[in-house]
Amino acid sequence: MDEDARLIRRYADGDDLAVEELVMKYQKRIYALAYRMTGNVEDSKDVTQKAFLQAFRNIRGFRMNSAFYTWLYRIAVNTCLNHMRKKDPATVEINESLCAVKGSTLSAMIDREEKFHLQKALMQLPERQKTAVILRAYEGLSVRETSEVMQCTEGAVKAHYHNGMKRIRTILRERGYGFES
Amino acid sequence: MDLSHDEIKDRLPGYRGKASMPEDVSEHLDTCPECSEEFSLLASMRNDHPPEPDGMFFETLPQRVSALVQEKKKKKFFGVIPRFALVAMLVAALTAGYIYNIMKMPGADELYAFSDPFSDGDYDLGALTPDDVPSIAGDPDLEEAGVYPDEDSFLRDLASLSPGEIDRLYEKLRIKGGNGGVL
Ligand SMILES: [Zn+2]
Repeated sequence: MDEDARLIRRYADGDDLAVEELVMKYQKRIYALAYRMTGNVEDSKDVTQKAFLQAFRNIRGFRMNSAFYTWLYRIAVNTCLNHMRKKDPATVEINESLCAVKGSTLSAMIDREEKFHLQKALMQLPERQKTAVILRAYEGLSVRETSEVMQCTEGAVKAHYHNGMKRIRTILRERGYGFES
Repeated sequence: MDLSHDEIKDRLPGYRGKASMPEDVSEHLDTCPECSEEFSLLASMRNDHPPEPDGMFFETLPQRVSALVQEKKKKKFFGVIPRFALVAMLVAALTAGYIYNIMKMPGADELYAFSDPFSDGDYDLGALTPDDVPSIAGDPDLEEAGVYPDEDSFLRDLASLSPGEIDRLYEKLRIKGGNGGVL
């Protein structure tokens, strides 16, 4: 039994401290995932808390033969998508604007601008492409893990990922960014 | 060629740097600008850390989630009671109906004992006298009657009572010992 399974067993046995330990372990990853999905700090905080509540509320749906984090990621992705769908599209925006950075060096400025456009390009992708790119490129999940989170075949994950990455490159090139190594 | 090209791209997210990849992959990157560009893009993505949430978000989230989870558990426990009470009420109502049916079975005579005294003719409104007034006036229990300073105001109110109110008044008088000779 791995550490997560032990914590879930403790929670099922009525030990509420296990909840805190699981949240502590995964909160930064879930928050990062939520930020990639929503592009907004406040929404990410909201979604992170909601995702953990959903997870503990539906802990009976978790099967010990799969990894807890892929199950948690699935809940977090669904929570993000529901949150975004309910939101008026006009209000979906990246809240870290470039002019908010004062006193930064030129290289930091360029770096920040690049990241801003990267996040903006990500936000332009259709849901499935965006999810596949986030899970694979940012979170470093394997094709198999991503297919578990997205509940689709590995072939579908590869297709969404490739199309998503291709589209990001096109968007960035249109804005004058190249990524030569 | 195209397939291996895609295969390489599928493997790229798993490598942190060129040093960590197998020779065939790094050799491919050296000759393929497209895959090389994709690898640089991946490196930029990994270096892009989301902004830290303000305040004490990470410091307080574990306790906050734990508290909300416990609150939900308690609500679930108490939430069972109303549903249980509803079932109990339904069972009680069905039982009461059953008992009532048994009680009325012997004959119509017993049924009259439960019926409206006004409609079965025993109740004579005209038999109420001004002597009944003191038993009602000033009685805080009988809100419908209120406090009457004189007999006329009482009789006026009495005339405007609804059948239900008259029933309650009748009950009140009966309890107080049959003032007015209605029984
Ligand atoms: Zn290539």
